[in-house]
Amino acid sequence: MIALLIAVPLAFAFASIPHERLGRYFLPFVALFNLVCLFFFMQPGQILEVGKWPAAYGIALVLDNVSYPFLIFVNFLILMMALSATLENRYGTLLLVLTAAVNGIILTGDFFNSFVFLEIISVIAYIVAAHKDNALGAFKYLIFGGIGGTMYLLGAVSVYVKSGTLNMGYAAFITDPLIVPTICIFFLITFLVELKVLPLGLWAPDVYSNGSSVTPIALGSIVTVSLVYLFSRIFLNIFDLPSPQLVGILAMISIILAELGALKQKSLGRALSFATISGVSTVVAALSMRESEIASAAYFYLFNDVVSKFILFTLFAYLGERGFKSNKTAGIAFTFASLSVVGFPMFAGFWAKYYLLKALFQVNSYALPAIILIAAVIEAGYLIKWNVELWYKGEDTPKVQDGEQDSEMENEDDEVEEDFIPFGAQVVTLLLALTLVVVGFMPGLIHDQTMNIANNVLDFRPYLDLILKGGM
Amino acid sequence: MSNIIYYVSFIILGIGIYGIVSQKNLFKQLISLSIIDTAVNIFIVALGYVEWGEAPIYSAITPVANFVDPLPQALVLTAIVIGVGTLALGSILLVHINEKYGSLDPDEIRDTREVVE
Repeated sequence: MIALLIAVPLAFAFASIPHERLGRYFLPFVALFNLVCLFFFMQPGQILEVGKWPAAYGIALVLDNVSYPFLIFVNFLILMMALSATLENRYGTLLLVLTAAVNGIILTGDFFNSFVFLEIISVIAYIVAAHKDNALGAFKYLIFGGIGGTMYLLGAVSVYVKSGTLNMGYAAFITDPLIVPTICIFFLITFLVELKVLPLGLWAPDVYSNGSSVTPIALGSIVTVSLVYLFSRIFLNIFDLPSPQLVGILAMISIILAELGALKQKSLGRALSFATISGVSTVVAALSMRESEIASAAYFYLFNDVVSKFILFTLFAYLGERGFKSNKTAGIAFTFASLSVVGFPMFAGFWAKYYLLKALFQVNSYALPAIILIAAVIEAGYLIKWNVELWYKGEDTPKVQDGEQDSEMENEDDEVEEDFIPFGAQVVTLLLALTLVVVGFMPGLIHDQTMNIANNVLDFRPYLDLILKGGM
Repeated sequence: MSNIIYYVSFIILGIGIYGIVSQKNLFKQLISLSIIDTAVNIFIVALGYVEWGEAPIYSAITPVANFVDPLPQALVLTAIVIGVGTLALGSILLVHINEKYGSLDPDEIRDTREVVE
C-alpha cells in the first residue's frame, strides 16, 4: 500500500508521455489520491520490504511518525501548486515524476535508494529551473547539485563499506570514530547545497527569481521540505552531527548574508529568493542543535516559511510590472504572507519565531536568537517597502474622468487587469493566507504535530523497531 | 600496491575539483564535473575489488569462490546512468546559453546581459 505513493504518480507520468497535455490534469488528482490514501488508508508504523527481502539486504519503505506528517505536507503543497501554477503541457509529466521522487525520498529507509531519488529530484529540478529561458541559472544549479550528489553517493558507499548494508537503521550502529564524521561530512555537503545554505546555496537567487509560478514553488517549497526531512532523518535520527556548532555558525552566517542580500536587491524575485535562503538556514541552524523543543520550533518555522513563500512567489510570478491596485485579493494574501514571514502577531510566523526563541533561551543559546531578531528587522524593512510599492503602484497615473468613451475604455482596461492572476492562483493564495491567520490564532494545530515529529525524530528506537520487524 | 587505485581516484577527483574552481568556461566546468563523477565511480568499484577474486556468479565450477563484491558495481552502474543523464542535460543547457548570449565565458555573458538590461 505504501508503495502506491510512489507507483501511482510514476504510472501516471508514463501514461502522460503519449498525451503530453494530460500530465497537468493528472497532477492534482494524483496529489489528491495520495492525500486520501494517507488520511484514510495508511497510518504510521508500517514498513514495506520490497521483494520480501529483509530490510538489511533490500529496499525498505518506512512510514513512521516522522515521515507521515512530512508526506501529508508535501502532497498538500503539490496539490496547491497544481491548482495555482500555470503549467505548460510538458511540465505535467515532470511534476508527476517529481511527486514520485519526493514521496520516495521521504519513505525510503535505504541510503542508495535515497541517492537515486535525490538524483531524480535534482534532474527534474534542473529542468524546472530552466523554465522561462533561465538556462544559465539552471546550469549553475547543475554544477553545485552535481557535486552535492557525488558527495551523497560517497557517503552512502562509505556506510555500506563500514556496515555491510545500505539500510539507514543499521547504519546507526557504525561506531568508528573516524568513519562516522567522514560519512556525515559527505552528507552535510549535499544538504548545504540543496538546502541553499550560503555560500553553497549561491545558485538559488538566479533560479528562484526567473518569474515562473512553478520553479520557486517546486524547488523552494516541495523539494526543500523533503530535504529537511532527509536532513532530520540522517542527522537527528541516525547519526550525530559532527561539530554541530560549526554547522550552526555556517547557517547563522548564511542568514545574515541572505538578509543583507535581500535588502540590497532591486527585484522582488531576487529579494524573495534571498529571504528563502535565510528561512531555510534558520531551520538548519535550529535543527543542528538536536533539542526536541528547538526541533519542534524549527519545523513550525519551516511550515510558516514554506507556506508564506508559496504565496509570495506565486503572486510575484503573476504580478510582473503590475501592483495590487486592480487586484486587492492578491494584495491581501501578499500582505498577510509578508507579515507572517516577519513574525507579526496574529499570524503563524509570530508563533514560529516565539517558539523558536523560547526554546533557544531555555538552553541558554543567545547567538541564534540575536541573529533571528536582527533578520526579522531587516525582513520587515524590505518586505514593507515592497508591499508599499506594490499597493501604490500606478496611483500616480492620471485617470481620465471626462467623456463617456474614455470611461468605457478605462473599464475595459480594468477588466483586463483583473484577469492577470488566474482564478486558481487567487483562491489558493487566499486560502493559504487564511491558513496563516488561523494558525496565528490556533498555533496548537501545527505545534502539536511538530512536537510529535520532534520527539520521534530524536528517538531512534521506534525507527529501529519498525525496521527490525523484518529481521536481520 | 592495491591501494594505488585509491590514490589514482583521489588524484582524478582533485583534477576535477581544480577544473571546476579554476576554469571559467562553462563547458570546461561541465567536463570537470564529469571527471569528478568518473573518479568517484573508480573509487567505488575499487572498494569492492578482491585480489585474485572472481566474477560473482554462482555455478557448478565456482560453488565456493573468492568473489569480488558485486554491490559497488551495481551502485556504480546506476551512478553512471545518472551521470550520463546529467551530462546530457548540462550540454543542452549550454547550447541554450550559447544561443542566447553567444558565448560560454561568464565575463562575456555578463557583458551581454548588461547590454540587454
